[in-house]
Amino acid sequence: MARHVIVGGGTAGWNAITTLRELDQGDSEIILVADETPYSRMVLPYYLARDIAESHVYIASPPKLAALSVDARLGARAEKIDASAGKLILEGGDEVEYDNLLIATGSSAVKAPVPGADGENVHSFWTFPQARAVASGVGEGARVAMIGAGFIAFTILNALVSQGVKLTVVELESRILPRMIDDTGAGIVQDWLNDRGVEVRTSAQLASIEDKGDAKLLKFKEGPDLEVDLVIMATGIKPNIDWVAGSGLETNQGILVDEYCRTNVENIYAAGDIAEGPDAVTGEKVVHAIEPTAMQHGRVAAANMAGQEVAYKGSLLMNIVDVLDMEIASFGAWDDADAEVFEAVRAERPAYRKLLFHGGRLTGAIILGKTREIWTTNDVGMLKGLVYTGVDISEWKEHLRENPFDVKRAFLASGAAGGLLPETILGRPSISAHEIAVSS
Amino acid sequence: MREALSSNRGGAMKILKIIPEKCTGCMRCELACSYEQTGTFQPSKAVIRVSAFEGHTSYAPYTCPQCDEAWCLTACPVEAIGISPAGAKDVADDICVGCKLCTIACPYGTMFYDIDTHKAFKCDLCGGNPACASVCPTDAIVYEEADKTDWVGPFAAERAKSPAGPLAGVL
Ligand SMILES: Cc1cc2nc3c(=O)[nH]c(=O)nc-3n(C[C@H](O)[C@H](O)[C@H](O)COP(=O)(O)OP(=O)(O)OC[C@H]3O[C@@H](n4cnc5c(N)ncnc54)[C@H](O)[C@@H]3O)c2cc1C
Ligand code: SF4
Ligand code: SF4
Repeated sequence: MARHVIVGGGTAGWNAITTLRELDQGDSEIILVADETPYSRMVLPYYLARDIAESHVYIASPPKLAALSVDARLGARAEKIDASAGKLILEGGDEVEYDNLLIATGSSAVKAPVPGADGENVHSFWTFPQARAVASGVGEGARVAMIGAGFIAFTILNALVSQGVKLTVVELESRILPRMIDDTGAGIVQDWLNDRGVEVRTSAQLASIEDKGDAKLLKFKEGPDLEVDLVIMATGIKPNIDWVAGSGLETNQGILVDEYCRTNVENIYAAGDIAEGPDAVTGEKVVHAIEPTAMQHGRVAAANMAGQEVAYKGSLLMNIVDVLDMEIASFGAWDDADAEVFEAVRAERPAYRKLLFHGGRLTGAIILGKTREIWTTNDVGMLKGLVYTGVDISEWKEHLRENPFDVKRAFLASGAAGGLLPETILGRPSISAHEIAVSS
Repeated sequence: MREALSSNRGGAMKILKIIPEKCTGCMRCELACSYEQTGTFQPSKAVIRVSAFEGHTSYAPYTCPQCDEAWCLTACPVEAIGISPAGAKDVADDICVGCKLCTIACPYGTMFYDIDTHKAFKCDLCGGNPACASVCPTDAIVYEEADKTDWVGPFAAERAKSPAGPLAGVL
């Protein structure tokens, strides 16, 4: 019986486990080495909003892992790989032999390197314990500073506002969401926030965080100080890659993988935030550090570990975030200076669309508008479909140049749906998660 | 277990077959759908939606094709999407946290978000008795065993090439 060893039980690791069991119904040994009980980080904002209980965050409890016949070494950390011997070495010295090894160790939050960053009431928001710490510190009227106005910061913004905090968002760059939307979109979102009582300070460089009684005093290179009760540092993440040094694995920003999610070392796969794999639009290898890519990597890697020879065309970079009932989504290469760009703003709604073309092919898109209005259209998913498939819509180009808001008929006429229907990653229909089980 | 799984595997399943040539644009499907799904007549919350072509002289309804390897289902971080006895991919409201990942995963544009319930929603085939097909007076929507195919694409492509061209009938 083949032995699959999986390091990390986040989105990528967990999807690999369920996919292995979907394919082999228990006909392999799975050892999970994970320093945390499996959960999905992206559910943490709903925990912070007190929409869901702690138990809801965990995707797999120890009994569920046991039911899937997974030998789960929870709390264990991988320290080293001895690829020539086919062994994983754990902290504390235990060794685990593998036939296939999947590295799915994700990323960690990085705090801005300023004096006081490690002080009390200054938290990252990346792990469950960090989310608990923030949750216990926010409540009606609490003054909170969010350092960093990137995607992760925005995923928790609604939750903070729902708890009644007085929020100030601080961004080093000249605008918010620098890696998710363009200047036009960011401007609309910034106005939207200001109108709803969220203060946004851009081009603001934090210099230090000092204690002032029970409060925190933020000092900046320029501009007035800011006094708050709690500081959240959403200042970036980095792949948990240091521990694989010396293993012979080829790395860049992440561990390089091909369209099978294989690394350069035999029988070693990598998936999720740790993996630098093919992008569906450009074909180039990138670290997306998003949930859907982690899920796809996990499934593709597992299929190959199970011996299925599954190559995939790469994942699409995409994000969606709701900011106080404004929907913001972007797909693919939305920031491509070489693309032909069609855009339109409806300031009174507000709403914004941006379509990026190379020839007859849509290679990137931004869609932004009121949540109440966006979902009366099919446009979010249809833009995804057009960018992902790269289907030729030359015939619609002139129409879309004038009417970037009218993508539906272009999508329908493109035949994108017909091309997609036979497409599968694993070559089989999905089953419900609760139907995945080991045969006795 | 293999047998139990096979119930959902491809093969014979009733789907919503759409024959756009028969659609007159009466929008009854949208009304019936929203009523069945939400208890009120609000076409903005229908999960079957009619598009106009050629300056509002032809129409086509469009909804979730219940694709086989469902993008929405695999994308959900909390495993809120399952497969109903009717074979529909279905959102469990008590598990869904409203993160919208399924809405950007689905490349067909047929997964939506309800701003009032804060949950994702989609076509669930009305538990095996779809309201849209029941009310369509011209049988442009029929619920029967059929291939999962792009029922609307060729029709829409043909309309786009008509003299009125794609510019006609902007909705
Ligand atoms: C608040 C928040 C909101 C988010 N929202 C979104 C969103 O809306 N959309 C989106 O696309 N993405 C979102 N993300 C990002 C998404 O959660 C990640 O991309 C995803 O979790 C990556 O999955 P992964 O399996 O690669 O890594 P992780 O989920 O980080 O899992 C890696 C696991 O490996 C463990 N590990 C690390 N090193 C070792 C070791 N040496 N030994 C053993 N175990 C180890 C870690 O502790 C962790 O449990 C969000 C993230 C956060 C924090
Ligand atoms: S909503 Fe989209 S992804 Fe889900 S079953 Fe329907 S077509 Fe497939
Ligand atoms: S919106 Fe709900 S059903 Fe969709 S992915 Fe998120 S939790 Fe799952």
